[in-house]
Amino acid sequence: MDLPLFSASFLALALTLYAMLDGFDLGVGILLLCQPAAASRDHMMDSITPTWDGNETWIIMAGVTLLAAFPTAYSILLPAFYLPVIVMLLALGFRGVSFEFRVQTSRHRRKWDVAFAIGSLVAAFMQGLIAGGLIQGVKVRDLRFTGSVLDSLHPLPMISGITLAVGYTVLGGGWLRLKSNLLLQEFARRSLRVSVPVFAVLFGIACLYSAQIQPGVRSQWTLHPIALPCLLGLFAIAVGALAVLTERVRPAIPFVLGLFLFVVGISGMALIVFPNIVPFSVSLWDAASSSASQEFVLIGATIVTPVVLGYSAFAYWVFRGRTPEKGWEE
Amino acid sequence: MKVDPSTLARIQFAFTVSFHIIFPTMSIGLASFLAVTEALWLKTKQSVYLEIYKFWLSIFAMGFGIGVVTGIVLSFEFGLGFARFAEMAGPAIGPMIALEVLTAFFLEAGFLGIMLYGLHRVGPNLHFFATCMVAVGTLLSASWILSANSWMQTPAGVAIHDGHLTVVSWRDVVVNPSWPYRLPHMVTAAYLTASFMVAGVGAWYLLRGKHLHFARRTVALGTAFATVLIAGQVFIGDILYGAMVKYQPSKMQAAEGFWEKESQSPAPYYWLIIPDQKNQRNRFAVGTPYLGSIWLTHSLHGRVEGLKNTPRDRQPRMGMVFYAFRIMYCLAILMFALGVASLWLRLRGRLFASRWFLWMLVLMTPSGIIATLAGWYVAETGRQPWVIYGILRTVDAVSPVPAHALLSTLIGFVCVYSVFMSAFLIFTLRIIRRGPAEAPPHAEASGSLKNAFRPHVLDSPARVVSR
Amino acid sequence: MSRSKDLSQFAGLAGTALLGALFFFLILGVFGLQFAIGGLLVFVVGAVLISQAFPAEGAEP
Repeated sequence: MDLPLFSASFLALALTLYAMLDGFDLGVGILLLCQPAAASRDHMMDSITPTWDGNETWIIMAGVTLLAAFPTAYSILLPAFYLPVIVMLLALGFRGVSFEFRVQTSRHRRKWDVAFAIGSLVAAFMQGLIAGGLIQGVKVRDLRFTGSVLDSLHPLPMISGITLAVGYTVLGGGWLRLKSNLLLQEFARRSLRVSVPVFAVLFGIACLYSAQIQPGVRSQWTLHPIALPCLLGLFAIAVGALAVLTERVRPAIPFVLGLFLFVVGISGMALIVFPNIVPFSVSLWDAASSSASQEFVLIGATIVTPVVLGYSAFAYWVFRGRTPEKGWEE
Repeated sequence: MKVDPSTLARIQFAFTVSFHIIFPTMSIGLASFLAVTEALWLKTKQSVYLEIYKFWLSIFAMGFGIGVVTGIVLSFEFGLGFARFAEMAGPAIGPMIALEVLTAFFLEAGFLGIMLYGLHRVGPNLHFFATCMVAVGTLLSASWILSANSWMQTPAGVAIHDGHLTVVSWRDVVVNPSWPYRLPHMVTAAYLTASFMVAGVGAWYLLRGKHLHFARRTVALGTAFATVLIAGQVFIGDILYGAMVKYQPSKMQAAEGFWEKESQSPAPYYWLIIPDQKNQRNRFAVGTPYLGSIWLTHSLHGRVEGLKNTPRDRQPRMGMVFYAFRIMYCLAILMFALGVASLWLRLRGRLFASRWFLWMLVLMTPSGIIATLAGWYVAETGRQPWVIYGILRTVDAVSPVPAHALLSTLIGFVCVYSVFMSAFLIFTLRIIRRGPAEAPPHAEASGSLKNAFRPHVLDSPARVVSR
Repeated sequence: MSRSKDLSQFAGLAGTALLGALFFFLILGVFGLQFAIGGLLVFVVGAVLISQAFPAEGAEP
């Protein structure tokens, strides 16, 4: 029983769920910046308000799983990405409190909308920055971080940051297409017409650039000569489908395709990173805690995660269908 | 300016965790209070209980949100500021916090949406279930995190080998020696916080002569809960004190202000000291004779152990521990006195008419928060110089992050958190000023927005929602 | 008359304060653990009974 492998799988699951679920929350937040009508902004916010907290919790799950199962990696990666993580946390903070503060005022609601939107944008950018920084490589010696706090301010992390932010707007657009009123559906369609191709192009640039500057990426491509190109192909097909879709499809399709894009993208990244946890220098097994800790987490995760998914799905079901015009008080 | 990174890391963690603890303390208490209120509404069908529920729900929602986002910070800050600690303690506290996320955070988050926004989407019983689930989530959360922090205070169940910790017995790690005492102490503190907040706001309305039915109900409920809870808290507190004398003697030695290995007999209870840590003495001390022996040794002539019983390089700073403890304890005495007063006033039929009592309640509105913060300062500064008591020193636990990065993020946290706190206070005071039944119902955004741009409606004090 | 009323009120106040302090010392365990538990139980049961029996003026509409 390869416990670190199981823990890494759970970690990957948590990250994937986070990116899919909070992805569309952040995406909607970013799209607020493009929405001039206040009533429409209210409607966009209403669509994500009831379920955002549970979505965001998956990033805590990922971080804490890293602490519990791979404490060495946690102690390397967090100082390595000190500034991006803290900026992200502050941005998520603004995003989170804006939900509750904006309904307390009508005069300053626009300011809180801006805080929400910029918080979402900055958080998304920082998450992409960290992903790109991971691929770029973290300077490690003797299982300690030896680089500088400014290592993330390089081209690949920056490109990744923008890519992820645009990717989240694809998810956000898909969500709005599914949940909002007719006016906003048109807005969502227009946003997707821009965000999908931009995301695809940026993703391609990021992949190519990462292969160019990081030999680890190139060697992983040779190690997985079938799987990685397949994933890339699936990604391209999904992008194509999203791009050519007309109005006459079921409303859920763009959203589902967006989620599919993310699953494919994250799978690809997982293949590139594996068997390391700190790419490309520290393996899962080098960074793992003892089996007692892995077991505790995995037993808890195995028993509780289905329950969590169950009542989370129930919460989504309670707020199913199109978001009501007047918010949730009617 | 050359500031030591470890000092900056400690200041940053102290700031973020102090700010954070204010909000879960309120949330744990208010969540259960809301469950009780909703139960009373469902049972008695009296609309006043729905008013109370909706009023405190909007304050609860804001506090809960701030608690969540400031809490996420902490789960990463272990690694950000104290990577050595995270690497060493991760195998022990990591799984506990992972279970906290799985069993508590998801539970709260999953049902919070229904609790806040589902009043019109689900039936009353399902909604009440959601409220209860959120309350249960807060309690589970408190339980796990107290387990993790208590493990740092009394690290049991682990074996150390080569600077690495391996868990030997999960039962001993989770149910470590101090947890069974600290958990009830913290939960009671949270419930006391909510009781005094609720009673204080109610008392304010009584003094202004507004919202009388609401005010009487909340003052009655708040004082009744507070009276029972403070008695329990005094009991638990003393038991916890005895346990900590056994498991962390240096903390309790620092807490009482005595230096000599054995104090004089009978020992006074110090209220004010000016400690001189360098010379291991008090430059000034004032106390009540005999009371130290009575309270601390439960006898008339017992001697109290002083801080010199601990080697100098293992001593916490007496000034911080002593005064944090005194603040918490004095507030406890005040709370107890108010509880007794409330019973006496009930007997005389003057609970709502006694103006001095109502003013005391108003002043004591934030007492639970201050006492809880003070108690946590006892716990954490008293554990110093250790971060894992007896195993890892705080100064050895910091991350390889340069001082300028720590300083800039510290400033960032202070600025951002100030915005959060200001907004929270401004909006809470506005909700209190508006009063119940006129409090903006949750997520009324879309509904009221079509009125929002009519100038005479903007932020007017008695804005009534029109449909 | 008001003099004796003041006096009885003062006596009630002083008595309550003393009783309260006694319970405080009791619950704190000054007289031992058994008395602490006993004191706590008496206090809590008493508080609950008083709160039920004297529901505070005007609490019911």
